[in-house]
Amino acid sequence: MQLTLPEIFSLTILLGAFISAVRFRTADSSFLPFMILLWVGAANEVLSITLMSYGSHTAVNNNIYVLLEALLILWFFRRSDAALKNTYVFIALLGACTLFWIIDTLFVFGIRQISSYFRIFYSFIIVLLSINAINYLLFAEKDSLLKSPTFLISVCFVVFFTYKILIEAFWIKGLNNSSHFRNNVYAILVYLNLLVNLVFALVTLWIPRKQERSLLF
Amino acid sequence: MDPQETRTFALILIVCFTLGIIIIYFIVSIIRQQRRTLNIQKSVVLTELTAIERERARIATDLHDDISPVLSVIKFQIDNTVAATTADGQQLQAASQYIDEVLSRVREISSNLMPSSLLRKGLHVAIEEYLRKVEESGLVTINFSYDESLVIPEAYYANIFRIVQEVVYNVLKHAKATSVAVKVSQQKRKLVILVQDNGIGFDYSNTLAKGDGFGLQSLKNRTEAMDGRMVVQSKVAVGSAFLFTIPLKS
Repeated sequence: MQLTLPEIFSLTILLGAFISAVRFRTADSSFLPFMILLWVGAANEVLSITLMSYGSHTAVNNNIYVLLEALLILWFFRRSDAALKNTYVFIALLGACTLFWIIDTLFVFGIRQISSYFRIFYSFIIVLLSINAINYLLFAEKDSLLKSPTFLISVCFVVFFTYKILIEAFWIKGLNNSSHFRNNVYAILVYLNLLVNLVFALVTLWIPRKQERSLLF
Repeated sequence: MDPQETRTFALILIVCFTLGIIIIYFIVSIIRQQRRTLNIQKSVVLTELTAIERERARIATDLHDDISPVLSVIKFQIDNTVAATTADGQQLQAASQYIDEVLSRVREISSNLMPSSLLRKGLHVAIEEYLRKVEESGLVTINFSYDESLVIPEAYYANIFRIVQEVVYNVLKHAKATSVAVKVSQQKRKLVILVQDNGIGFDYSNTLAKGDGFGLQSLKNRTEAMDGRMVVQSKVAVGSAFLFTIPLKS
Protein backbone atom coordinates (compact mmCIF):
# COMPACT_ATOMS: atom_id res chain seq x y z
CA MET A 1 0.00 0.00 0.00
CA GLN A 2 1.47 3.33 -1.13
CA LEU A 3 0.82 6.12 1.37
CA THR A 4 0.39 9.71 0.19
CA LEU A 5 1.96 12.66 2.04
CA PRO A 6 -1.33 13.81 3.66
CA GLU A 7 -1.91 10.23 4.83
CA ILE A 8 1.55 10.05 6.37
CA PHE A 9 0.93 13.42 8.05
CA SER A 10 -2.39 12.30 9.49
CA LEU A 11 -0.82 9.07 10.77
CA THR A 12 1.50 11.11 13.02
CA ILE A 13 -1.32 10.92 15.56
CA LEU A 14 -0.08 7.36 16.16
CA LEU A 15 2.94 8.87 17.94
CA GLY A 16 0.81 10.50 20.63
CA ALA A 17 -1.51 7.49 20.79
CA PHE A 18 1.46 5.14 21.31
CA ILE A 19 3.08 7.32 23.99
CA SER A 20 -0.22 7.71 25.83
CA ALA A 21 -0.75 3.93 25.70
CA VAL A 22 2.67 3.43 27.28
CA ARG A 23 2.05 6.11 29.91
CA PHE A 24 -1.60 5.18 30.50
CA ARG A 25 -1.13 3.56 33.93
CA THR A 26 1.22 6.15 35.34
CA ALA A 27 -0.32 9.35 33.91
CA ASP A 28 -2.65 11.69 35.79
CA SER A 29 -6.18 10.36 35.32
CA SER A 30 -7.61 13.79 34.47
CA PHE A 31 -5.97 13.38 31.05
CA LEU A 32 -7.80 10.12 30.34
CA PRO A 33 -10.31 11.77 27.91
CA PHE A 34 -7.40 13.28 25.99
CA MET A 35 -5.64 9.92 25.77
CA ILE A 36 -8.85 8.24 24.60
CA LEU A 37 -9.20 11.04 22.03
CA LEU A 38 -5.74 10.19 20.66
CA TRP A 39 -6.58 6.47 20.48
CA VAL A 40 -9.92 7.10 18.78
CA GLY A 41 -8.26 9.56 16.40
CA ALA A 42 -5.49 7.09 15.57
CA ALA A 43 -8.01 4.27 15.02
CA ASN A 44 -10.08 6.51 12.74
CA GLU A 45 -7.04 7.53 10.65
CA VAL A 46 -5.96 3.91 10.21
CA LEU A 47 -9.51 2.87 9.32
CA SER A 48 -9.91 5.78 6.86
CA ILE A 49 -6.65 4.95 5.06
CA THR A 50 -7.57 1.25 4.90
CA LEU A 51 -11.03 2.04 3.55
CA MET A 52 -9.59 4.44 0.97
CA SER A 53 -7.09 1.83 -0.19
CA TYR A 54 -10.05 -0.43 -0.95
CA GLY A 55 -11.82 2.41 -2.74
CA SER A 56 -14.51 2.73 -0.06
CA HIS A 57 -15.95 5.96 1.30
CA THR A 58 -14.83 7.21 4.71
CA ALA A 59 -17.85 9.41 5.41
CA VAL A 60 -19.50 7.03 7.90
CA ASN A 61 -16.50 6.53 10.17
CA ASN A 62 -15.54 10.21 9.91
CA ASN A 63 -19.06 11.31 10.81
CA ILE A 64 -19.04 9.05 13.87
CA TYR A 65 -15.51 10.19 14.74
CA VAL A 66 -16.39 13.91 14.80
CA LEU A 67 -19.17 13.24 17.32
CA LEU A 68 -16.81 11.20 19.52
CA GLU A 69 -14.17 13.90 19.18
CA ALA A 70 -16.59 16.62 20.28
CA LEU A 71 -17.84 14.61 23.28
CA LEU A 72 -14.34 13.54 24.37
CA ILE A 73 -13.02 17.10 24.21
CA LEU A 74 -15.97 18.31 26.28
CA TRP A 75 -15.22 15.54 28.78
CA PHE A 76 -11.54 16.58 28.78
CA PHE A 77 -12.43 20.17 29.66
CA ARG A 78 -14.75 18.92 32.37
CA ARG A 79 -12.04 16.68 33.91
CA SER A 80 -9.28 19.27 33.62
CA ASP A 81 -11.39 21.68 35.71
CA ALA A 82 -10.08 24.57 33.61
CA ALA A 83 -13.00 25.48 31.38
CA LEU A 84 -16.16 23.56 32.26
CA LYS A 85 -16.78 23.79 35.97
CA ASN A 86 -20.55 24.00 35.77
CA THR A 87 -22.15 20.54 35.48
CA TYR A 88 -25.32 21.92 33.89
CA VAL A 89 -23.35 23.72 31.17
CA PHE A 90 -21.37 20.53 30.56
CA ILE A 91 -24.54 18.43 30.20
CA ALA A 92 -26.17 21.14 28.02
CA LEU A 93 -23.17 21.19 25.68
CA LEU A 94 -23.07 17.38 25.48
CA GLY A 95 -26.79 17.41 24.67
CA ALA A 96 -26.47 20.26 22.14
CA CYS A 97 -23.62 18.53 20.28
CA THR A 98 -25.40 15.17 20.19
CA LEU A 99 -28.68 16.76 19.08
CA PHE A 100 -27.00 18.84 16.36
CA TRP A 101 -25.13 15.76 15.13
CA ILE A 102 -28.32 13.64 15.01
CA ILE A 103 -30.25 16.30 13.11
CA ASP A 104 -27.39 17.23 10.77
CA THR A 105 -25.90 13.81 10.11
CA LEU A 106 -28.85 11.46 10.37
CA PHE A 107 -31.76 13.55 9.15
CA VAL A 108 -30.50 16.42 6.96
CA PHE A 109 -27.47 15.09 5.08
CA GLY A 110 -27.42 11.37 5.91
CA ILE A 111 -24.54 9.46 7.51
CA ARG A 112 -22.97 8.62 4.12
CA GLN A 113 -22.44 12.28 3.31
CA ILE A 114 -20.01 14.68 4.98
CA SER A 115 -21.64 17.78 6.37
CA SER A 116 -19.59 20.80 7.39
CA TYR A 117 -22.25 22.38 9.59
CA PHE A 118 -21.81 20.11 12.63
CA ARG A 119 -18.04 20.43 12.23
CA ILE A 120 -18.27 24.23 12.30
CA PHE A 121 -20.65 24.08 15.28
CA TYR A 122 -18.53 21.89 17.56
CA SER A 123 -15.26 23.55 16.46
CA PHE A 124 -16.72 26.87 17.55
CA ILE A 125 -17.65 25.45 20.98
CA ILE A 126 -14.19 23.93 21.42
CA VAL A 127 -12.44 27.19 20.50
CA LEU A 128 -14.54 29.10 23.06
CA LEU A 129 -13.87 26.48 25.77
CA SER A 130 -10.15 26.50 24.96
CA ILE A 131 -10.05 30.28 25.38
CA ASN A 132 -11.81 29.81 28.73
CA ALA A 133 -9.18 27.25 29.75
CA ILE A 134 -6.30 29.51 28.66
CA ASN A 135 -7.76 32.43 30.65
CA TYR A 136 -8.17 30.20 33.70
CA LEU A 137 -4.61 28.88 33.45
CA LEU A 138 -3.21 32.38 33.02
CA PHE A 139 -3.92 32.99 36.72
CA ALA A 140 -4.25 29.48 38.16
CA GLU A 141 -1.09 27.87 36.78
CA LYS A 142 1.78 28.34 39.20
CA ASP A 143 4.41 26.96 36.85
CA SER A 144 5.45 28.08 33.38
CA LEU A 145 2.53 27.80 30.93
CA LEU A 146 4.81 26.12 28.42
CA LYS A 147 5.08 23.18 30.82
CA SER A 148 1.32 22.91 31.30
CA PRO A 149 -0.20 20.10 29.18
CA THR A 150 -3.69 21.59 29.50
CA PHE A 151 -2.41 24.93 28.18
CA LEU A 152 -0.61 23.33 25.24
CA ILE A 153 -3.64 21.19 24.40
CA SER A 154 -5.93 24.25 24.59
CA VAL A 155 -3.61 26.27 22.35
CA CYS A 156 -3.55 23.42 19.81
CA PHE A 157 -7.35 23.27 19.95
CA VAL A 158 -7.64 27.04 19.38
CA VAL A 159 -5.28 26.91 16.39
CA PHE A 160 -6.63 23.72 14.84
CA PHE A 161 -10.35 24.32 15.31
CA THR A 162 -10.20 28.02 14.30
CA TYR A 163 -8.65 26.92 11.04
CA LYS A 164 -11.12 24.07 10.83
CA ILE A 165 -14.01 26.55 11.02
CA LEU A 166 -12.41 28.64 8.27
CA ILE A 167 -11.57 25.68 6.05
CA GLU A 168 -15.01 24.12 6.46
CA ALA A 169 -16.55 27.49 5.61
CA PHE A 170 -14.33 27.80 2.53
CA TRP A 171 -15.19 24.18 1.72
CA ILE A 172 -18.91 24.99 1.73
CA LYS A 173 -18.21 28.16 -0.29
CA GLY A 174 -16.07 26.26 -2.78
CA LEU A 175 -18.47 23.40 -3.43
CA ASN A 176 -19.04 24.73 -6.96
CA ASN A 177 -15.31 24.96 -7.63
CA SER A 178 -13.05 22.25 -9.01
CA SER A 179 -11.98 19.30 -6.88
CA HIS A 180 -8.36 20.49 -7.27
CA PHE A 181 -9.31 23.79 -5.60
CA ARG A 182 -11.15 22.03 -2.77
CA ASN A 183 -8.25 19.63 -2.20
CA ASN A 184 -5.81 22.54 -2.01
CA VAL A 185 -8.00 24.26 0.58
CA TYR A 186 -8.20 21.06 2.61
CA ALA A 187 -4.41 20.57 2.38
CA ILE A 188 -3.96 23.59 4.73
CA LEU A 189 -5.69 21.59 7.45
CA VAL A 190 -3.49 18.56 6.72
CA TYR A 191 -0.30 20.55 7.43
CA LEU A 192 -1.87 21.99 10.55
CA ASN A 193 -2.90 18.49 11.60
CA LEU A 194 0.75 17.42 11.38
CA LEU A 195 1.85 20.28 13.63
CA VAL A 196 -0.91 19.61 16.17
CA ASN A 197 -0.21 15.85 16.21
CA LEU A 198 3.47 16.49 16.95
CA VAL A 199 2.60 18.88 19.79
CA PHE A 200 0.13 16.31 21.14
CA ALA A 201 2.91 13.70 21.14
CA LEU A 202 5.06 16.08 23.20
CA VAL A 203 2.16 16.83 25.50
CA THR A 204 1.61 13.14 26.23
CA LEU A 205 5.22 13.01 27.39
CA TRP A 206 4.62 15.98 29.72
CA ILE A 207 1.39 14.76 31.28
CA PRO A 208 2.11 14.73 35.02
CA ARG A 209 2.44 11.41 36.79
CA LYS A 210 -0.30 10.07 38.99
CA GLN A 211 0.39 10.78 42.69
CA GLU A 212 1.44 7.31 43.70
CA ARG A 213 1.72 7.25 47.45
CA SER A 214 -0.09 4.88 49.68
CA LEU A 215 -1.30 6.13 53.02
CA LEU A 216 0.76 4.87 55.94
CA PHE A 217 -2.21 3.86 58.01
CA MET B 1 -7.34 25.56 -10.94
CA ASP B 2 -8.54 28.37 -13.18
CA PRO B 3 -7.21 31.94 -12.62
CA GLN B 4 -10.28 32.87 -10.56
CA GLU B 5 -9.79 29.83 -8.26
CA THR B 6 -6.07 30.58 -7.98
CA ARG B 7 -6.86 34.14 -6.88
CA THR B 8 -9.41 32.86 -4.32
CA PHE B 9 -6.95 30.26 -3.03
CA ALA B 10 -4.24 32.93 -2.69
CA LEU B 11 -6.69 35.04 -0.72
CA ILE B 12 -7.47 32.08 1.55
CA LEU B 13 -3.74 31.53 2.14
CA ILE B 14 -3.26 35.22 3.04
CA VAL B 15 -6.19 35.05 5.49
CA CYS B 16 -4.79 31.86 7.07
CA PHE B 17 -1.28 33.32 7.32
CA THR B 18 -2.52 36.55 8.93
CA LEU B 19 -4.68 34.61 11.36
CA GLY B 20 -1.68 32.40 12.22
CA ILE B 21 0.47 35.44 13.06
CA ILE B 22 -2.30 36.91 15.23
CA ILE B 23 -2.74 33.61 17.12
CA ILE B 24 1.02 33.20 17.65
CA TYR B 25 1.32 36.79 18.92
CA PHE B 26 -1.67 36.22 21.20
CA ILE B 27 -0.14 33.06 22.69
CA VAL B 28 3.31 34.59 23.19
CA SER B 29 1.76 37.63 24.92
CA ILE B 30 -0.28 35.34 27.20
CA ILE B 31 2.84 33.40 28.22
CA ARG B 32 4.78 36.61 28.91
CA GLN B 33 1.89 38.09 30.88
CA GLN B 34 1.55 34.91 32.95
CA ARG B 35 5.27 35.01 33.80
CA ARG B 36 4.95 38.62 34.93
CA THR B 37 1.82 37.90 36.99
CA LEU B 38 3.47 34.86 38.56
CA ASN B 39 6.54 36.85 39.59
CA ILE B 40 4.39 39.64 41.04
CA GLN B 41 2.19 37.17 42.94
CA LYS B 42 5.20 35.34 44.34
CA SER B 43 6.89 38.54 45.41
CA VAL B 44 3.69 39.82 47.09
CA VAL B 45 3.20 36.54 48.99
CA LEU B 46 6.85 36.46 50.02
CA THR B 47 6.72 40.07 51.25
CA GLU B 48 3.52 39.39 53.20
CA LEU B 49 4.89 36.22 54.78
CA THR B 50 8.16 37.92 55.72
CA ALA B 51 6.27 40.84 57.25
CA ILE B 52 4.01 38.47 59.21
CA GLU B 53 6.96 36.48 60.55
CA ARG B 54 8.83 39.66 61.48
CA GLU B 55 5.80 40.98 63.32
CA ARG B 56 5.29 37.67 65.11
CA ALA B 57 8.93 37.61 66.15
CA ARG B 58 8.65 41.18 67.45
CA ILE B 59 5.52 40.41 69.50
CA ALA B 60 7.09 37.18 70.81
CA THR B 61 10.22 39.08 71.88
CA ASP B 62 8.16 41.84 73.51
CA LEU B 63 6.13 39.29 75.45
CA HIS B 64 9.20 37.34 76.48
CA ASP B 65 11.51 40.25 77.25
CA ASP B 66 9.10 42.91 78.54
CA ILE B 67 6.02 41.27 80.04
CA SER B 68 7.59 38.16 81.57
CA PRO B 69 10.26 40.00 83.66
CA VAL B 70 7.68 42.47 84.96
CA LEU B 71 5.38 39.63 85.97
CA SER B 72 8.29 37.83 87.61
CA VAL B 73 9.13 40.93 89.65
CA ILE B 74 5.48 41.27 90.73
CA LYS B 75 5.45 37.61 91.73
CA PHE B 76 8.69 38.05 93.66
CA GLN B 77 7.22 41.04 95.51
CA ILE B 78 4.01 39.18 96.34
CA ASP B 79 5.95 36.15 97.55
CA ASN B 80 8.02 38.36 99.83
CA THR B 81 5.12 40.33 101.26
CA VAL B 82 4.30 39.44 104.85
CA ALA B 83 0.58 38.97 105.26
CA ALA B 84 -1.10 40.55 108.29
CA THR B 85 -3.76 37.89 108.55
CA THR B 86 -4.22 34.29 107.38
CA ALA B 87 -6.91 35.44 104.91
CA ASP B 88 -4.50 37.98 103.41
CA GLY B 89 -1.87 35.25 103.18
CA GLN B 90 -4.23 33.00 101.28
CA GLN B 91 -5.10 35.84 98.88
CA LEU B 92 -1.43 36.57 98.24
CA GLN B 93 -0.76 32.90 97.59
CA ALA B 94 -3.68 32.77 95.13
CA ALA B 95 -2.39 35.92 93.39
CA SER B 96 1.06 34.36 93.11
CA GLN B 97 -0.47 31.24 91.54
CA TYR B 98 -2.40 33.40 89.05
CA ILE B 99 0.83 35.12 88.06
CA ASP B 100 2.47 31.71 87.60
CA GLU B 101 -0.37 30.76 85.24
CA VAL B 102 -0.11 34.06 83.35
CA LEU B 103 3.66 33.62 83.03
CA SER B 104 3.24 30.12 81.71
CA ARG B 105 0.57 31.33 79.24
CA VAL B 106 2.78 34.22 78.07
CA ARG B 107 5.64 31.77 77.46
CA GLU B 108 3.29 29.50 75.51
CA ILE B 109 1.95 32.36 73.36
CA SER B 110 5.45 33.66 72.78
CA SER B 111 6.64 30.19 71.78
CA ASN B 112 3.70 29.74 69.38
CA LEU B 113 4.36 33.11 67.79
CA MET B 114 8.03 32.38 67.21
CA PRO B 115 9.69 29.45 68.93
CA SER B 116 12.99 30.59 70.37
CA SER B 117 14.47 27.18 69.54
CA LEU B 118 13.89 27.87 65.83
CA LEU B 119 16.28 30.80 65.95
CA ARG B 120 18.70 29.35 68.48
CA LYS B 121 18.82 25.62 67.79
CA GLY B 122 17.49 25.32 64.24
CA LEU B 123 14.59 23.74 62.40
CA HIS B 124 15.03 20.12 63.51
CA VAL B 125 14.93 20.93 67.24
CA ALA B 126 12.08 23.43 66.82
CA ILE B 127 9.87 20.90 65.01
CA GLU B 128 10.84 18.16 67.47
CA GLU B 129 9.97 20.35 70.47
CA TYR B 130 6.69 21.42 68.94
CA LEU B 131 5.67 17.83 68.14
CA ARG B 132 6.69 16.68 71.62
CA LYS B 133 4.39 19.31 73.13
CA VAL B 134 1.56 18.14 70.87
CA GLU B 135 2.16 14.52 71.87
CA GLU B 136 2.19 15.48 75.54
CA SER B 137 -1.39 16.66 75.11
CA GLY B 138 -2.25 12.95 74.85
CA LEU B 139 -4.49 13.43 71.82
CA VAL B 140 -2.24 11.74 69.26
CA THR B 141 0.92 9.69 69.02
CA ILE B 142 3.51 11.22 66.73
CA ASN B 143 6.15 9.44 64.69
CA PHE B 144 8.79 12.00 63.66
CA SER B 145 11.78 11.45 61.42
CA TYR B 146 14.26 14.03 60.17
CA ASP B 147 17.10 13.46 57.72
CA GLU B 148 20.17 14.70 59.62
CA SER B 149 22.13 15.29 56.42
CA LEU B 150 19.66 17.94 55.26
CA VAL B 151 21.03 21.41 54.63
CA ILE B 152 18.10 23.83 54.52
CA PRO B 153 18.56 27.56 53.85
CA GLU B 154 17.86 29.52 57.03
CA ALA B 155 15.44 31.77 55.14
CA TYR B 156 13.13 28.73 54.79
CA TYR B 157 13.08 27.83 58.52
CA ALA B 158 10.05 29.89 59.50
CA ASN B 159 7.99 28.80 56.48
CA ILE B 160 8.78 25.10 56.92
CA PHE B 161 8.10 25.24 60.64
CA ARG B 162 4.76 26.97 59.99
CA ILE B 163 3.85 24.37 57.38
CA VAL B 164 4.39 21.50 59.84
CA GLN B 165 2.65 23.47 62.59
CA GLU B 166 -0.37 24.26 60.39
CA VAL B 167 -0.82 20.68 59.14
CA VAL B 168 -0.50 19.17 62.62
CA TYR B 169 -2.87 21.81 64.00
CA ASN B 170 -5.41 20.96 61.27
CA VAL B 171 -5.05 17.26 62.03
CA LEU B 172 -5.73 17.88 65.73
CA LYS B 173 -8.65 20.20 64.98
CA HIS B 174 -10.44 18.32 62.20
CA ALA B 175 -9.04 14.86 61.48
CA LYS B 176 -9.91 13.01 64.72
CA ALA B 177 -6.68 11.09 64.18
CA THR B 178 -4.89 8.96 66.74
CA SER B 179 -1.57 8.74 64.90
CA VAL B 180 0.43 11.26 62.91
CA ALA B 181 3.65 10.65 61.01
CA VAL B 182 5.92 13.58 60.14
CA LYS B 183 8.86 12.93 57.86
CA VAL B 184 11.36 15.54 56.68
CA SER B 185 13.78 14.17 54.11
CA GLN B 186 15.69 14.92 50.95
CA GLN B 187 15.08 13.43 47.49
CA LYS B 188 17.65 14.46 44.91
CA ARG B 189 17.84 18.25 45.34
CA LYS B 190 14.43 18.61 46.87
CA LEU B 191 13.30 18.91 50.45
CA VAL B 192 10.35 16.58 51.05
CA ILE B 193 7.98 17.05 53.96
CA LEU B 194 5.35 14.39 54.46
CA VAL B 195 2.65 14.54 57.11
CA GLN B 196 0.20 11.65 57.28
CA ASP B 197 -2.60 10.87 59.69
CA ASN B 198 -5.10 8.10 60.25
CA GLY B 199 -8.07 10.44 60.68
CA ILE B 200 -11.44 10.77 59.02
CA GLY B 201 -10.10 12.32 55.79
CA PHE B 202 -11.66 15.18 53.80
CA ASP B 203 -12.42 16.32 50.28
CA TYR B 204 -9.48 18.59 49.43
CA SER B 205 -10.85 20.09 46.18
CA ASN B 206 -14.25 20.80 47.72
CA THR B 207 -12.77 22.40 50.81
CA LEU B 208 -10.60 24.70 48.69
CA ALA B 209 -13.42 25.48 46.25
CA LYS B 210 -15.85 26.35 49.06
CA GLY B 211 -13.30 28.77 50.49
CA ASP B 212 -13.34 26.94 53.85
CA GLY B 213 -9.71 25.96 53.63
CA PHE B 214 -8.04 29.12 54.89
CA GLY B 215 -5.30 26.98 56.44
CA LEU B 216 -4.91 25.01 53.22
CA GLN B 217 -4.58 28.22 51.21
CA SER B 218 -1.96 29.48 53.63
CA LEU B 219 -0.04 26.17 53.25
CA LYS B 220 -0.23 26.52 49.48
CA ASN B 221 1.00 30.13 49.59
CA ARG B 222 3.92 29.28 51.86
CA THR B 223 4.93 26.34 49.67
CA GLU B 224 4.67 28.32 46.44
CA ALA B 225 6.65 31.19 47.97
CA MET B 226 9.56 28.72 48.16
CA ASP B 227 8.88 27.52 44.57
CA GLY B 228 7.57 24.28 46.05
CA ARG B 229 4.60 22.05 45.35
CA MET B 230 1.91 20.77 47.71
CA VAL B 231 0.01 17.56 47.09
CA VAL B 232 -2.85 16.45 49.31
CA GLN B 233 -4.21 12.94 49.26
CA SER B 234 -7.14 12.01 51.42
CA LYS B 235 -9.46 9.05 51.81
CA VAL B 236 -12.56 9.12 53.93
CA ALA B 237 -12.12 6.94 57.06
CA VAL B 238 -8.54 6.11 56.07
CA GLY B 239 -6.64 9.35 56.58
CA SER B 240 -4.87 12.19 54.84
CA ALA B 241 -1.39 12.79 53.51
CA PHE B 242 0.20 16.18 52.89
CA LEU B 243 3.29 16.12 50.72
CA PHE B 244 5.45 19.20 50.19
CA THR B 245 8.38 19.22 47.80
CA ILE B 246 10.61 22.27 47.91
CA PRO B 247 13.65 22.74 45.68
CA LEU B 248 16.85 23.24 47.62
CA LYS B 249 18.74 25.96 45.83
CA SER B 250 22.50 25.89 46.06
